[in-house]
Amino acid sequence: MELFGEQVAQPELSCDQLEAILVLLAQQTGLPLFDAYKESCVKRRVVARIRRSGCLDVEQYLRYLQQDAGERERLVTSLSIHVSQFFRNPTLFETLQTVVLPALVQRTAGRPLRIWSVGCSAGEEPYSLAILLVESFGEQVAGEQFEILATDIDRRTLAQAEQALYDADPTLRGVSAARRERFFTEQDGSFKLCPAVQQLVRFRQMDLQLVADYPQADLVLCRNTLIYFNRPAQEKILQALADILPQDGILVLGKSESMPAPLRARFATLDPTERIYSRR
Amino acid sequence: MRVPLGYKFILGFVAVVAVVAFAPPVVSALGYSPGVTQFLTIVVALTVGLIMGWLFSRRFARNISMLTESAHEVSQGDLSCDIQLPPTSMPDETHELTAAINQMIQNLRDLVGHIRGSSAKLAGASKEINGTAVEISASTEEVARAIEQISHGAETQAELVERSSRIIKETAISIELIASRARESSRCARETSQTAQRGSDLAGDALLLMKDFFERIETLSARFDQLNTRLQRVGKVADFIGEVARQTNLLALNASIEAVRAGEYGKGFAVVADEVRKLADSTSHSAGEITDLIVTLRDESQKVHESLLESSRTIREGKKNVDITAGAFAEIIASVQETERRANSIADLSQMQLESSGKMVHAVDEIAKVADDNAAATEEVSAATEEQLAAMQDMALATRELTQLADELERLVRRFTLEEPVELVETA
Ligand SMILES: C[S@@+](CC[C@H](N)C(=O)[O-])C[C@H]1O[C@@H](n2cnc3c(N)ncnc32)[C@H](O)[C@@H]1O
Repeated sequence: MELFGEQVAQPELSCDQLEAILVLLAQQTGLPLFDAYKESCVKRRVVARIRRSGCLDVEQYLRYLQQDAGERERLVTSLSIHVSQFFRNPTLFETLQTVVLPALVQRTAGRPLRIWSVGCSAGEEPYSLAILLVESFGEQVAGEQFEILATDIDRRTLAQAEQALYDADPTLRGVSAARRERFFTEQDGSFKLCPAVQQLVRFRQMDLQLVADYPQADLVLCRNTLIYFNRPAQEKILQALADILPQDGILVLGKSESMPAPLRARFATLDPTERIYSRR
Repeated sequence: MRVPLGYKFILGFVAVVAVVAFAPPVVSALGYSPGVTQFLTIVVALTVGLIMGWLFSRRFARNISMLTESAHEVSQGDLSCDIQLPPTSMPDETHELTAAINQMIQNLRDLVGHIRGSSAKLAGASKEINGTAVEISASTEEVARAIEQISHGAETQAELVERSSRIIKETAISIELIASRARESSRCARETSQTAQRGSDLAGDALLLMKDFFERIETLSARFDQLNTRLQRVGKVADFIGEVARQTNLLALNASIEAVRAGEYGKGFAVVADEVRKLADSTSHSAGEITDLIVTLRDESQKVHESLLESSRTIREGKKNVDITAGAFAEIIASVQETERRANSIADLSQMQLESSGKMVHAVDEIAKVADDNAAATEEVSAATEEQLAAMQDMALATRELTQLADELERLVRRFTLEEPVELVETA
């Protein structure tokens, strides 16, 4: 790689070294080991981090990582990708608003409908849903009839979610002018979500790998989070999601994610394009 | 010729001292009173000293003030002009200072020019990188959409494969069912065929028995005929006996009449004749009974014969039925055997079908695996794309900051005015 005429070395990272780094990270941060993630992804991220740290080789980086809590945090942050947008894949949100939510509401009459956004990043997804609910049912009913829980492993991104302050581009690109007008107020260049929508969403730090902690839910959005996990972990997580969903409960995956074959016995496809599945 | 400032001062001082030394004789030569002469001497010395001092310091002060002014301008950020001292035949340190300051200004000018050029280039480059990052973001998003499309294909494929696999498995199950039913019906057919065979055998036996029976009826009929003729013959004998008895009776009657005629001598004979007549009577009577018996016997045997014939007729009717039954059994056996054959071939066929559906399930599983792999690979690409998107967003952010930095730098160095357009220095 050539940068301003200077040659930047690509550090070579062997499997053992990667393992050593991840074990160190798990020990020091108390987070679970990152072995559930796709190795190629993790490796790319670690290599990128090593390069940016200015360390000349992996050994040096390991020492640095051991000494510097800041670097550990940076590595953890760089291990998760937080790309998200309001109303990412707009057609999905249309389908949710026009088909899925009305059907679910009818089914769960008499008790609040529980929605769970898994891997919520900085809140773009759960807030988009909250906006839909306010639009469809009004603030009052939305607050009484729905419970939106949003979880993520990364505390920093959750803190951002609690702030609910977003850049116009690209985060708010999918928000129509009317919605922007109605639900956001401008604050020196950024946009702040109105409290009425904000209060509909509860955030909680949670690791998707700890399947025993899963809450009950009628609708689970688990989009663009499983892509970072390897197949066995994906299957484990999806099995656990099937366990907490009631019969005919809805699961939504990301647009480039697919239902692994062994799980098709537990989930029926409702909409292959939008990746909407129902618990068999 | 360079004359250092110190020398210039010494020179001036020597000149003033010389004037003070040489003035009194000159002034006294004018012939004024000594008081006046003394006064004049002082005045002349002072005047000459002042003139010489002014002459010396004027140039120096002017040079210094020019230098001060220039330094002030530089401190204000104006690097546009060099200091130009008036030409002199005797340059001193001020000229050297001027040259040094000019050099400094020139260096500053170069430096600022450099910085200005570099910051402009930096701003340009970072804007360009920002633009590129945004572009890459856009194309990455496009890639992401394409991947979503591919993934949709993969998902649909997986879905279809899953469905066809289910259908094939269901079909396999029903084929298995068919095979087992076919085997069952083949077994039933075989059993039926065996039963029918037994029935047919029984019918055959019955026919044989009937044939036997008819033959016996036939001999029986012949025997009856024989019996009849014999009975007739017996009847005739009985009739003859009756006739004989009647004639005997008549003869006995005649004899008894003769005995009566013979009187006392015929008395014994009359008894015998009477006995004979009695015997003839009972014989006749017995012969009559025999004839009656024979008639009854004939009637009875006739009846037996008739009922024999009757049952023979009935049995003949029955034989027809048994014949039909035997035929039906044969037909049943034939069709049941056909059924068995067909059921067997169905079983064989469905066995084959079962095997090929097993192969199909295998193939579909293989396809499913490929589809699954495809989906996984697409996911992987998607993860990488997402990563790239994140990196590009970071980069866009970083370059935006870089642009701001460059602008800031540019604003800072803009305080310096450079007169001539600065030639940009390449940063290599
Ligand atoms: C690419 S974002 C998806 C955001 C959003 N769901 C969407 O589709 O726009 C993935 C998120 O998953 C989170 N994540 C990664 N590993 C996780 C784990 N083990 N448990 C919970 N969240 C995790 C990351 O922190 C990140 O915010």
